[in-house]
Amino acid sequence: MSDRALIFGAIRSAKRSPARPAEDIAKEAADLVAHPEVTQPGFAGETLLDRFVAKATSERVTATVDQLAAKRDIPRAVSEYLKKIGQGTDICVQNCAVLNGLDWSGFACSPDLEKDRGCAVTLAEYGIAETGSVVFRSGADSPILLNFLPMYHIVVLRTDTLIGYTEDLWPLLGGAHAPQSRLLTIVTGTSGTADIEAINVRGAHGPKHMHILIVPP
Amino acid sequence: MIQTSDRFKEHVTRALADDDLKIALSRTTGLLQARRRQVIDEYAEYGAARERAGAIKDHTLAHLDHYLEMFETNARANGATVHWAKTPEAARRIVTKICTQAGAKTATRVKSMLGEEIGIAQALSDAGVERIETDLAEHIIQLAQDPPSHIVMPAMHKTHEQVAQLFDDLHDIAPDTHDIPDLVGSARRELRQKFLSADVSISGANFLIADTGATVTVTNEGNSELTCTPPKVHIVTAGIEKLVPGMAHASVFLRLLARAAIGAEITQYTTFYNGPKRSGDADGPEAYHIVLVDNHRSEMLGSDLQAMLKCIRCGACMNHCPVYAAIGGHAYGAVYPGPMGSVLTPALSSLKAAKDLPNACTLNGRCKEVCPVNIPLPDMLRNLRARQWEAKLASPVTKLALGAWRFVARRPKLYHFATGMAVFGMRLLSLGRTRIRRMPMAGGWVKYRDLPRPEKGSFMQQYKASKHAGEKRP
Repeated sequence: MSDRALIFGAIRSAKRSPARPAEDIAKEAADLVAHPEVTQPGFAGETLLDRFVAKATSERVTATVDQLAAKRDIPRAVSEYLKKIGQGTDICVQNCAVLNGLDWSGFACSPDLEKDRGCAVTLAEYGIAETGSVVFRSGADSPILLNFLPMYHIVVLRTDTLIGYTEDLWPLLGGAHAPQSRLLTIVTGTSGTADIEAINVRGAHGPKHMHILIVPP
Repeated sequence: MIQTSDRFKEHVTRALADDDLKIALSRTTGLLQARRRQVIDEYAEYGAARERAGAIKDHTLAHLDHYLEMFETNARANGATVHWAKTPEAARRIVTKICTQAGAKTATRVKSMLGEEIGIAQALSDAGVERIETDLAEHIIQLAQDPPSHIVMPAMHKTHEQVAQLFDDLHDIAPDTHDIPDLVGSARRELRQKFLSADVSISGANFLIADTGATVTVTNEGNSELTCTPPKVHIVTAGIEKLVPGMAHASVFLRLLARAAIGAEITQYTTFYNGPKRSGDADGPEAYHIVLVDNHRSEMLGSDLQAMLKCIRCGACMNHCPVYAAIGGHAYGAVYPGPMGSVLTPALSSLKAAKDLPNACTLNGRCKEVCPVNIPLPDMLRNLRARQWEAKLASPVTKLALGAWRFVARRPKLYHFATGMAVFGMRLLSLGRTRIRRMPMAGGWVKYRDLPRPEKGSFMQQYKASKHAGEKRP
């Protein structure tokens, strides 16, 4: 007998109740999450943007945030940030429509991110207010490593992509039966570790610094 | 790792004499408890979330065959190859075969307790593949050739001074200083190129999502995504109990897991893997395998150990266990230490091979109190003790002591006399202080800690005295 058959055989013989129709099971599963607000941390009275900024810049998440008036201000804001942290003009900008449309003259877009002090600019698909997180998906115009290799991670987030909770994200991805990208990652601040004596240290393997540029739609 | 739980007492003696271990444990457990307390206090909906998480797990386990089939169908539709392994040996054979077929020379690995359970290190060595641990703690214990001592922080038994020594000796470029941030920097420098050049990556899964076929990892380091993207093959090994019905159900657990494990609202990276590289993708593996492992889980289903299948491996029970805090994880001699390990190890091996573990518990109940899915660990440990008694596995000393206690407890006059004498004797031994330093027949106890001095008179003596005083009052 195959291992699969052995496992299913053991599970079915352990069950004390008879099998139920799939629709009944689906209904019971849906009922268990029918009222997500019961288990979601409440933040009534705060706007999505206020909550997002407060969480992203909190001591536990450690990102910095710059709110810009227009998308065209992004290169200037990147330049100011690089100056502030004492970095040169070497950056890697994600090759996507939103960022390609901007004027990147003045930057040397050829960094070697595999070495250690690189800086990348990437576009978040969504921002989650609950935790100050940003969401990325892999794709043709979205190499996932761009979000993990640099020491400095500059994230562009559009205000119209802000959502309250992770539960609000799942329907936006098309539901259970829509084709999904290879990888979806919810990133909350920078790479960290507490593996030595439970002391929190940033820049474990991924970015040590995250700077979020919030732009209008 | 080879299970040595049968030598628990020997391990404990060694652990209690290890001064470095004492320092390492005292530097960590207090911090972890305080961080957890703070985020739980801030989460007003914690009670509701905990109750809901337990209900979701109960539902999933009640329909485990249904959800496993659903997961398999959806994972295949995503492009994954799904394998089934009844035993650790079968799981190792599958991993070895995938590595051999891929012609792999090196494999980067993301920490996973299931991987430890099935012996991934052995599987890779069988395939002639060099194993590179990428989680910082796993990297440390790989260099030290130690087994993990905690399910979330496998190197909890090491002080930073010990880590510094290891890195000085074994890293290509020694750390700049022995401060913790520089030690982290040294590991980053040492591992970066290895992430990018490995042939195969191996991760576990914190959750399996039935209705999308996704596997989920949560990490703080981002090592999972860095590990599982560059190599041409990605292998996921996961226990069959990791299933949840859908993404919305996973949301409930993600909030609880990070809070219970590390005292954060969410880990830095929560990632859903849906298969191999899509056509046109800029990066990602060509092949994606999921190995679903049983290893006695299906036997626990429907038994009095079923609740253990709800465990989400947060480690809170060990962070709050006074026994774990005194002896660390290695003394348990098993993959899973602490309270959850003392329940799980007998189920994964045998009651006899792990007979001391259910007894290494004070039944103070803190493990259940901090468990994010409310597993009744103390009750389960008590049941295991009862089963040991029935299977005649209790030690002669335990049998004798319980026999003596039964004799005395059935004779109330003798019982009151004996407890009165014990209290009197203990107060004498306290030599006027509030703690007892030395006590005959309790050398094992007072060697490592003091006993509190009892109140004057036994409970019954005090009760009678107060009743007598009450009657006298007008």
